[in-house]
Amino acid sequence: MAVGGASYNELFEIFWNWSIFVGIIVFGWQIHHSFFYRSKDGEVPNIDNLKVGEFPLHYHNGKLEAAWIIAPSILIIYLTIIIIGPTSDVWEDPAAIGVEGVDYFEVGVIGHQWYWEFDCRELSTDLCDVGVDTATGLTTLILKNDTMYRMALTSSDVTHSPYFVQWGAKEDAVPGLQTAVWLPIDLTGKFFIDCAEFCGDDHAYMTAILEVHE
Amino acid sequence: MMQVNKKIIAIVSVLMVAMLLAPSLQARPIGISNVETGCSCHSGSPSSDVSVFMALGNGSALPDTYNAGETYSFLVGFTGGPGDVAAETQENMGGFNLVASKGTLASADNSTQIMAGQLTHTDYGNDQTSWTVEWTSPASGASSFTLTVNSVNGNADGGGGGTSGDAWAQSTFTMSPMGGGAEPLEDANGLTVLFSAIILVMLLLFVAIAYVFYRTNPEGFSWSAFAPWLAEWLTSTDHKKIGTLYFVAGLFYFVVGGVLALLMRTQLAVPGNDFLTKDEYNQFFTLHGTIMIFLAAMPMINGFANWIVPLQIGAKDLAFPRINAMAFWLNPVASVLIMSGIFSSNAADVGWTGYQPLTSWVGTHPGATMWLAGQIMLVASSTLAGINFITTIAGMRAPGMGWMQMPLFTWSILVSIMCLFISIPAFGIGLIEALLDRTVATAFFNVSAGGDPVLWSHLFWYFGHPEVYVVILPAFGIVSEVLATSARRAIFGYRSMVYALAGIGFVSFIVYGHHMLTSGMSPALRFVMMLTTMAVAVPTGIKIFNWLKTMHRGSLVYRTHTLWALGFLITFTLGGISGMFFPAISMNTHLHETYFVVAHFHYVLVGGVVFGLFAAIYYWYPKMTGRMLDERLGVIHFLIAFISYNGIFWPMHKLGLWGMTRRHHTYFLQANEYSDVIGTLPPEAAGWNMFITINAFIFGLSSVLMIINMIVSLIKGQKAPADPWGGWSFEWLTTSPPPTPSFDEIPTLIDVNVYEEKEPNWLMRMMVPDDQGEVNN
Repeated sequence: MAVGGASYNELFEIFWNWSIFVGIIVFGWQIHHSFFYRSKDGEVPNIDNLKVGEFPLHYHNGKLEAAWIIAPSILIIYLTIIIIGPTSDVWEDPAAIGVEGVDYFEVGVIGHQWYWEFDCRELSTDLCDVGVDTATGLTTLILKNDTMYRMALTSSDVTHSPYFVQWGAKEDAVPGLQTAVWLPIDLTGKFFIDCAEFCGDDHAYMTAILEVHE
Repeated sequence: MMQVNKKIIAIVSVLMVAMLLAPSLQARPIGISNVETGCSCHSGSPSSDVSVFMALGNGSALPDTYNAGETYSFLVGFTGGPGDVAAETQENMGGFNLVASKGTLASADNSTQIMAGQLTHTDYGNDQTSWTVEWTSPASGASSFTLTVNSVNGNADGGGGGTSGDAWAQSTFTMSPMGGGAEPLEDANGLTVLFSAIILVMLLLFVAIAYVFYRTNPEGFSWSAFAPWLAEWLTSTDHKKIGTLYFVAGLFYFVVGGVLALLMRTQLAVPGNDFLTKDEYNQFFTLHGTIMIFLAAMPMINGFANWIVPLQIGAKDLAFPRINAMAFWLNPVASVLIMSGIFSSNAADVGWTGYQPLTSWVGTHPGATMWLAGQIMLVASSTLAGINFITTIAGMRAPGMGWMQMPLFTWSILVSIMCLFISIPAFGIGLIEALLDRTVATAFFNVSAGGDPVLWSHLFWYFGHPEVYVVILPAFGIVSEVLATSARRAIFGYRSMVYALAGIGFVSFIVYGHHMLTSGMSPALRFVMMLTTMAVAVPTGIKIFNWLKTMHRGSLVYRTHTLWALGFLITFTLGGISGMFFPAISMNTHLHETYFVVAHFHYVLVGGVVFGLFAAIYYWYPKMTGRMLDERLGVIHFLIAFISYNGIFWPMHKLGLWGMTRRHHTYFLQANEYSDVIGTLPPEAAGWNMFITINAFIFGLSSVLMIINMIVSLIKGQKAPADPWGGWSFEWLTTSPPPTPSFDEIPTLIDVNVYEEKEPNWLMRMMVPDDQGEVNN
């Protein structure tokens, strides 16, 4: 159920490597052709005998064109298959997809212009607490390490989006809608939360702190 | 009757007495005011026994700098003097008065109050020696705080007696804005800079027009000669004149949008900058997006389409010249509506996406209403222009030119107009709904009345995604023309290029949901959009590989437009590759709304559309004006722009991965009080932001080279031949510049291909409607 963490890093690495692979092919090809097939000494030859008012000779190669339809398609299909799996991490209830022994706790997050309100529901203060960070003066959500949380999001005015940067997780908090984001807490420390959906004047200051204790 | 009147008189009398009493109840003389000569209630000289302190609310020392527009909590008070003695009684220990030269002071609790613009203690606060107060910092400028305290020995009764032994002291504290030392910048108000820049651009435009007019005919440089010349431009229905008008309007707004971007980059150069207020910043990025898409890219594309499409298909003019003129003249009016409010700092501040319910929220600027109205007008303008192009392309092709003999630029315009026609009604509806919500209080997007904010996102992105293809497809067409001509070759795989264009156009409609992968829409829909989005890569890949194959065994003639087309290939491919990261939902949740997105869409929109348009400028300028551009200046422009462009947007990928969120007027570094907060930006992010800003200025200035090149060449450029680059399509047949109407005689296209006689199958009959036998001559 790791949204950001593991599945993000794993996918990012695969995509990054394939990007480099595609980049080397395309740019290598382009740079080679740009220099190798340049006109020498200012000559302007007319290779395909282009003439104004004459539609030039069709110049194609069915096999080659089929090759660069099929090869990227294979890569795309492969990449699509590997991104389908982690998708369920983003939304599904762990129990629903057959992960045993994962228990989660629900914490409410309500977006206001321009601050976050955290609702610990009925949870004990060990599992969830709300305070104020002394250094920054920001609202602090205090959670417990090695615990699975489901952040239930909504908004009281306009659309906001809490962004738990460390976990790479965000989802819009839409007024009148209940959305959710899974937060598999696996680190202790103080973490930054900011607003990712433009919500008006103090959008940049709509920050909070997530504090994780042992 | 009389009794009623008596009652009324009685009630009124009681109310009046109450009103007379109320101020005196509130104004019980507690607190200190008017401290210029010392303490008003405890006169005499200040005492050295009393020491004054002012600190942050959490007890840490008062910092030298502040963040603009932030609310700070301060602890003010004193130690020493008789107040210490009085501590035993916990009563009447002291008082204070605080004056700030800038910013706004506010009371934080019932121990303090505002009196005559100054902050002082209340009756309740008289029993303390320290008080918590709040101060909201100004946008700019150093603020000095004058703090006067009075140490009271406990017996003061507040009524004027018992002041013996009291002592007072005064001290001054100063806080400068963050990034201090940059004092001169404080006066550089963002709006003023923008205003001046726009006026300067208009002035330059005016001077340039006047000078061109003068050089064309020095003797006739008078109003009587100028007025008909101007009238000709204002009333012309010639596709070339309207094309030029579109182009100049687009270029003007390109500069305005660029200035807005530079102002934003100045703001982001250092963290916590106060160059722009957050309010200005929000308006600027809204207008930057709207201007660049609707008022710069679209008009410039329309300008080229107006100029080149009739020439390429061998038509004397467009099908509906008057509709064409109307479509253009809606633009300047719409642009005024969209920009309205900017000079009074009340322009639209909702982002170019105008997400609901923010756009309908009462706290947004009134300019947003005008902004919506202006965009509705642009919808009308685009529709009119589109009808014109479709009719012209469908009905006015020269003899011999079937669908499959059309130049690729014309094809790209046709496909992009088709995309526009299928998508823009949704946008028009959304805009009208939003406008009604703002003006007559309908409830399309009002949640509390049953509206749905996600509906707007659907309507907007159903249009918004095809819209980016509407602007990128013509760039594909331009690059196809430029690259083939420069390589002295026919384009490789003409037909697959056409099918790929159509394929991209089709796919654009089934992928729009990838803009909404974190919007809270149905997971099933998000999942489908994720799969379809991955498919975009295939037709785009075909085009890139075909371009590369076109260069194979060619003989690339290096001109400025060749360089721009090759630059386009690099930047657009990079933009395409970074786009592949978004459909994966588990990566999207991290990357969405960060600078990674900003980097991606600037790689495709600037590296794609703008580079394509620059290539088009260098390629078709000789045809449009009859003058050659200066190649040396062009190459310098390309080199500076290409390098600085990558310097702007490449580092943004990294910032996005670090979690820097877009549309924030400031950002938080992992330093000072945030040093132990993981997820704030690493300190080197500040350096990268400065690097980006410097490159942005270089890129912006490099565009000036192109504008200078265009103006200078217009006057004393070398005369251009009819076909300077050796292209094959009809625009190179007519003179440079073309006559009006554009062809003296409608040309006939000759197809050098020999088509084998074969029975077309049912599929080919559907896809290639023209009779191929006839063109085979």
